[in-house]
This record gives sequence, structure tokens and C-alpha cells, in this order.
Amino acid sequence: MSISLITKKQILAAFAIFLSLLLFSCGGGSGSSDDDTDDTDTGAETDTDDEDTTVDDPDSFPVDTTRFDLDSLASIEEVDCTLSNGDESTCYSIEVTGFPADRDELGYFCPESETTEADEAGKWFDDGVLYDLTGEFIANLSTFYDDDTWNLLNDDGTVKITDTQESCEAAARPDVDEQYQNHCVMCELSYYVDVEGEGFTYTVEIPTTPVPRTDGTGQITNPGIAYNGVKLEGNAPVAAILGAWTIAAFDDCVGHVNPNEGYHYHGANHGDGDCPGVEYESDGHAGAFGYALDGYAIHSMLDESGEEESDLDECRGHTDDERGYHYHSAGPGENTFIGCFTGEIVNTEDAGGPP
Amino acid sequence: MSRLIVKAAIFFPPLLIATFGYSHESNHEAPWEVCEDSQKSAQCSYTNGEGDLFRGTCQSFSEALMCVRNKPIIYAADLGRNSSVHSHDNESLDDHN
Repeated sequence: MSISLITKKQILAAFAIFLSLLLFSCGGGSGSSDDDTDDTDTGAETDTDDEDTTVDDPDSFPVDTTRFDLDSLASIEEVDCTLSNGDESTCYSIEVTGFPADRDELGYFCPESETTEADEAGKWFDDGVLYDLTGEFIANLSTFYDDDTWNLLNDDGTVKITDTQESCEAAARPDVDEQYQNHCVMCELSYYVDVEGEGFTYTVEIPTTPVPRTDGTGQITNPGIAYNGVKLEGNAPVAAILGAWTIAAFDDCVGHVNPNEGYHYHGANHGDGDCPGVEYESDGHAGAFGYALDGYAIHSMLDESGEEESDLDECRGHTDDERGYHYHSAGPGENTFIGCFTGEIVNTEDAGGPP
Repeated sequence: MSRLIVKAAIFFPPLLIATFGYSHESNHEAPWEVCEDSQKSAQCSYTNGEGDLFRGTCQSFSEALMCVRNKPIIYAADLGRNSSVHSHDNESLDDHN
């Protein structure tokens, strides 16, 4: 008897919850800030009479701002915005600190000498491959690139490094100052930020719910923002870097500092070396580490079995029932995250940017 | 809510994260070169200096097109190719699927 009573109560409670959800989910409208931010929600319903336009797309899950590490956030607010298709919409204006919330310090970057090993050195990429930037790697650059001009070692075996603000700024630019050719290039946040553990604050606006593009894909400018508060940057100018016989060293997270962008990523290398990992999802799917500027999540390249997805579209995205449409980042050595934007981004006149 | 982040033992095939041990013929311009005379969204492929095959589509970055891989890498060992072989190819290579 007692078991059947509990069961009936549970059924009634479930029915009551179902009714309340049904009542509160009707009405559509534009606002998504009051919507349940659970990942399984779909986009708000379309209401073309409203000034704000949203799209009923079951594969476009609302942006979940709780994914951002609180330590990475300076502020987040919902704002009116204009999308790249000219439509008015609502967006999250997300200001991040620019310093990875999941680490206490950046680096390692350049190896100090020809004997420096991987555990005290960063990374460099070439040809889609990410290499440990060891002293040995530095010492053999002339062989690696089949060019005898390469010589990043001093006579005493130490590596030529841009270890001052002046040298960093003279080298960390497309037209590398001639006196800093044949250097390992690295810059310190401390040159520009007084407080340890802070970076360049950066504001990005992304739609509260992604809006699929209807006129083809969008060109990548900056791909997006990581949950830990670091900017995902476009292609590193490898040709210019190598053309000056320099190596713009990355740390194990394929990130580095320059005077304009502060610390930023050029690839995803979670779980290797000093780079914190990203938790796999409960079904073994690759975990997400950031949002693209169009509001679709960006997941790591490999699933828990070490396998890549085989059905990615040209933007490197695909859809499943659990996550809706989402992207998968390219490999850590490929100098890119995703290929294009499937969704609308904020009109560039409205978008925030680095200081 | 703080995000739970753990150090996941992500397995990257050996050639994606390498330790330097030998010379190689750098082919870092290949993603751009292979799309030079192509249209956006055209299929593309190239082989890197290790002999690994990258297949994707030409996508626009900074007013130039770059071959962005959207299919799993086919590694040189699986291809059975000599690592010194290079190919720039705009053909679809579905026969490798």
C-alpha cells in the first residue's frame, strides 16, 4: 500500500511539474535570459512581430554563461545587439580578464639553452604538428627548416630570447626588427599589467541563442572565447614569423603574449604538459572549452576513445541530440580552431575588442 | 559555477605532438598554396612534411583561402607512403575513407 501511495504522489508531482513547465514555456518572445539555461533547451520561439528576432532552431542551444569560470569573468550582461545579417537581437556582453582562470601562471615559452628539455619549454607548430620547443629543437632549426640562416643559439649555448619589453615589442610584430631576427620571441604580461594573475581584459558579444546563417557561412575573424577567459585568436602569421628566422614560442596551451592581444590561444592542446585538461562529457564526447562568436560551443578534437568525429561540415561543426550544433577544434598544431561561422555573429561595429 | 577541469589523459596520435628527432621538409605553406586558385568551400587536401594527409575545404581567412581540415587525418603509416612524398590536391579523396 505505502509503495503505491508514494508512486501516485510521484506521478502527481511529475504531472504538476510538467504542467508548470508547459505554462511557463509558452509565449515565446525574445528574451532568453529568463530561459532555463540547461543545455537541452532549444532556442526561443520565433515572434516576427517583435523588434527582436529569434529563430526557432532545435539545434541551436542557448548560450550557457555558467560555463565560464567565475574567476575569468570581469562582467557579463545581456544587451541589445545587431547581428551580421542586420537583425536586432539580444546578446551577452562578456568581459573576461584575459588570464586563464585554470592556471596560476603562464609558460614555459622559450627554452633557456640547448640542453633545456620539454618539461621546461613550450611549444611550436609546423605542418600541422605541435612540437616540444626543447633546446635540441632550437639547436637543430637549420636542419629542421633546411636553411643555414637559422641560428638561435649564443656561443655559450644559451638561446637568443627577446627577454625585455623593448626586444619583445620589436620582434612580436609582422615586420620583425632586423636586430631580433634569429631570436626566440616571447613577451611578458607583466610589461603591460601591474597585477599578477591578470591579463588584457577583453569584451566579446555573442548571441544569447545562436542564429543559423541563411546565406552561407561566415568568415572567421577571431574564432571565439574560452571558458577560462582567454581569447581564441585567428591564424598566427607563421610565414612572417619564420621569414625573420624567429620562433614565436607558445606555452603548452598553444598560447602566447603579444603587446596588442595580451595572452591568447592559437590552438587547443588541453591535457598536455602544463595545459589543464577538459573534462569529457558523460557519453564520452569531447568536452567543450569555449564559445565561438556565433554562440555555438567549441569542443575538443578527440573523444574519450581518442577518436575524431568523421561527419564535420566545412566549419568543423556537426549536430547531435545531446549538444545540438557545435564545433570541434582542429588539432593543436594546425594553427586554427574552426573553419567558419555557421551562425550569425554580432555586427563588428557593435562587437567589443581588446584594449 | 566553477567549471570542473581535470587533467584528462587525452591521447593524441604521436605525429600531432612530436618531439624533435629528425629533419623534415616543412610544408607549412601547403594549406594556403593548395587553395590559391580555388573557391571558398572547395574541397582540398595536402600532405604535410611527415607524409600525413589533411583533407578539408578552402575557407577564408584574412582575404586568403586556407585548407581547413574537416576529416580525420590519415597518417603516413596508414597511407603506406614514403614520408618525402608531397601532394597538393583539390580533388576529393573519398577513396581514403
